[in-house]
Amino acid sequence: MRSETAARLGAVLVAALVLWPGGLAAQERTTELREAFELERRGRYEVAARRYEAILDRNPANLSALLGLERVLPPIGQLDSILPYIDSALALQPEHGSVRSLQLRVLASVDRPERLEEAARDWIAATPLSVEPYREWAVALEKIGDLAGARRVLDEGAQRIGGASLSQDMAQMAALDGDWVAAAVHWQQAVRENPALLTASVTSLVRAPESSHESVVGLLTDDRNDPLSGRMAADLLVSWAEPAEGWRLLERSLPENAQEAAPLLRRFADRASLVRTPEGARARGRALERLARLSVGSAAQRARIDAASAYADAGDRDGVERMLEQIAAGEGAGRGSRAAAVAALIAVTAEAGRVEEAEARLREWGDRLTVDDAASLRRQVAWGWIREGELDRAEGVLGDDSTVTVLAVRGWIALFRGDLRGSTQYFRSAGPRSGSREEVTRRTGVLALVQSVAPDSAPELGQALLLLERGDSTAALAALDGAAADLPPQGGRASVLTYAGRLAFSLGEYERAATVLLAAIAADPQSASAPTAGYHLARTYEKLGRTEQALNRLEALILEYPESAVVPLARRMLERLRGAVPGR
Amino acid sequence: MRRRRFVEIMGGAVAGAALGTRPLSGSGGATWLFIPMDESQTNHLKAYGVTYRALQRGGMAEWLLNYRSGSFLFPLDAETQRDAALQGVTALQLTDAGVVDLRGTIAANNMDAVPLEKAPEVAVYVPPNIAPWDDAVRMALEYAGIEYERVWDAEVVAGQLDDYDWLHLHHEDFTGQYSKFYLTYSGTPWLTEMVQRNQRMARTLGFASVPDLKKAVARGIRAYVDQGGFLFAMCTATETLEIALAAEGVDVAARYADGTPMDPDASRKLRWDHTLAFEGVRLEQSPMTATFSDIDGHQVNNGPKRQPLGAFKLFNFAAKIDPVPTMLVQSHRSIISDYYGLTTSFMRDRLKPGVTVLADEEGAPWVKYIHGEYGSGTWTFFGGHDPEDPQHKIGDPPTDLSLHPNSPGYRLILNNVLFPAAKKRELKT
Repeated sequence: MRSETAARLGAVLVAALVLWPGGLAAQERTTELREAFELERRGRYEVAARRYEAILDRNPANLSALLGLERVLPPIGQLDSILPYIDSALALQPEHGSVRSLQLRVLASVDRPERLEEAARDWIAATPLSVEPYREWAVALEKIGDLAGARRVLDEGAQRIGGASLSQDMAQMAALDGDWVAAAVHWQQAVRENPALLTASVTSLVRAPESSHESVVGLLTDDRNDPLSGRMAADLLVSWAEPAEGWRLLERSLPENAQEAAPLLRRFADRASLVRTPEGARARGRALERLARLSVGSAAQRARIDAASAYADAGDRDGVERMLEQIAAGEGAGRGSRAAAVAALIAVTAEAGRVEEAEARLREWGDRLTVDDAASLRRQVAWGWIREGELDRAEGVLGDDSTVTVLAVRGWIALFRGDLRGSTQYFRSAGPRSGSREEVTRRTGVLALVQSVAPDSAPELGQALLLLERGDSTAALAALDGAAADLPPQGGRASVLTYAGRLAFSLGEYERAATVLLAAIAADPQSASAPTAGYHLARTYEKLGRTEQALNRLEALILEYPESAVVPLARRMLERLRGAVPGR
Repeated sequence: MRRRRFVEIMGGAVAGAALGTRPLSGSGGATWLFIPMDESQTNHLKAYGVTYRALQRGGMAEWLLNYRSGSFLFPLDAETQRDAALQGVTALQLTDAGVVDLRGTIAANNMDAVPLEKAPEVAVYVPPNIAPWDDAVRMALEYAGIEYERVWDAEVVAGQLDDYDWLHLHHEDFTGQYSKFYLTYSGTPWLTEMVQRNQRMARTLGFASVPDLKKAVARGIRAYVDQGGFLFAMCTATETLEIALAAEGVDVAARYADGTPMDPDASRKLRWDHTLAFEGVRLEQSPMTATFSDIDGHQVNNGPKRQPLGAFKLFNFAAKIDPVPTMLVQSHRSIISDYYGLTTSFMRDRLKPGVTVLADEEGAPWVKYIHGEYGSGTWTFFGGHDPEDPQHKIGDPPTDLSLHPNSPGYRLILNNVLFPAAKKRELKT
């Protein structure tokens, strides 16, 4: 009787040691563990192993020490020596899932298939309604490459426990096996059982190779009355860069409840933003537009703004305007956000070529916009008139504004009129920092061209550049040719021909580009534009498939103009043509 | 057999005599072309290509070990000058008087001038398909403009390596386990193709399995070194070549590779007297873990054992006494940031006695860059995958070397390419 009581007391003490974190003994164990971790971190596995074993000798159920032992024994080839410690831990806590799982991992690693099965069956017997033993057994088998065995175990578990409790594991196993249709079937079951697994299912199935996409989507969309599968298919399609089809599926499978639909729309929009195509942007816009309809107040306004931005990326002007009008009229839209929406609407209208309308709206709203917004819109409307060829109206919109950004616009207007001296003065006054970096680069480029032209006035050149600004590149090319012919060979002809050659290249007229660029070099081989023309000539030859000529041209350029700024570009192209660097 | 023996050199004399015999154009002006390899060089990597092509045209060159970080000297000729200009390589003209000064500096310091006499024939062991990772050596060769040929299993088994002076191995898994990506990347087209191609090759050459084929290939490579070849290996090729050589008659491959599981006692049965560099190695038993053994110090794909990257330091050797390791470590930087590979580094306690360590990480139990002799040839192992992409992942785009023309890590690779071009000198007694 005394001994029975002592044994019970012993068991209680062991349990207390395991569970009670306080006290001196616990602190010592923490220190010991920390030391063992440190030894392990420093790669002293042998010593670390002995330290973990000492902890376990005193406290067999110390899980941290057991797991530490599992990490340090393999490098010293002694993994099987952990098994007695696991047995001792299980004698105290036979249902401890982590220790059971550890036992299966170790038995799999030391290649003891019979003991592995025996241990797994023990665990199943101890917790007959749990899926954990089957799951961990399958994982252990999978880790040693026995995928067929892992599948068998999961099948057995599914049959015994029933339901879709192991569907997720079976899906992952099928995916590992490369059987993506089976994976989709299992995921479908798992998601039906637990809709919260929708994201996990998509994360897994999205890795399916392209050859399986059609069959996976076919399976998921087979039943039109299964909205969950429809949502899975929608997410997969947008992740596989088929956003339009994905949106079609999502739209028809959306739940009616706004609170349930909103996160689905938000997630779809996020995924669509990764598809960097107009289609992706449009699908994102649609999802956000729908989200805005389901939302109220500032959340709805935010969704509309995002949708407008997505439609703008998609080049869908109707979508942008629709959103901006809704923002402007939006419930709860403050004066500020309404003005911002109107400003955006004016910009979009001007960009679309409806300049008259944009100007009228600007007149109506001008005094309610911020000073900066109004100035920016005046410039945009002015550019709208320039693109219409209405230089006087453009100047009229600018009024008496003498800010540097407006001086830059005046420089362009002067240039398009052929007043090279005037445009140079305006551009210089505007300085190198007014406007966006892109505008400054463009202005600097054209200033270099203008400065190489000797006459102060060249209306034909101005007209040619205006045609280019208005998007009539073909007419501009012919006009540049004509303008160049009127200029002295060393007084701008070479530069204008180089400019024309580059334009012909960008239009894909390579034969013409080659002729014009050769003429540019011949006009003035000593000019600063000659190496630039040579570089673009090499690019043209490449497009024409005359690689040898391109190589010769590049070599000549590097050797004849070693100080030119285009030499690094030429050298890089030379490397690419010779296959020395990856192609872009 | 176009290969030449090299290694037993330990001369102190500079190579002026060899160059002095070459007729030079003009006597008043510059007669030499000097390519500095210190920080003033605009494109270190292409400088090796300029040197290689000069040798290929039948010209002569000298490699000035430790002089301005391993510079090159040529008799002035228009072709080399043109080549350097086209490649953007900094090259200076020197007069005879300037070269006399230069030789004086070399004679008085820990420097040496090694004549380079012939462009080595280069082979790269690479499968015909395109794997979703890059090969640093092929990129370096292509960027520098050094010609090479591709060889694979059939050529090695047929004994065709004798046609080459220098052989490079990179990411190949000579244990025949497809870099142990088989389970993780199951179903990906590139892996499927890799497996099918290897299995087809094994069948064609009459081997029972891919691991058997790769072991035979490893033996072929060892024989090549034994007969005087120069072997340079990086990344996984280093570790798996050694395991394959040690595993004669031992199953070290997982079930998916050859139909039978790995011998649980494989580590004990390995024969390290058959290998070049390592000994006493323990293998990784799990087929799920993309790591092979405890040779690698960093264990990049092995969860808790993965070690962070540091920097490795090149050793400074006595140029006149140890010209070979001196050549291999020529660089304008002595400390270089480390980079991962499936095999990143080599544990010091796994090296055989006699292995020369060329670079290590101070305070760490691993080394980065090692060299040794085997039979009549030499081998050099360099850990890691891509010196300019520290965490190269499967599917990442290849490194664009035009963005790294001064890469000290890539220089080490190109040192190895030029090393077999060095002229043999008699042992100084």
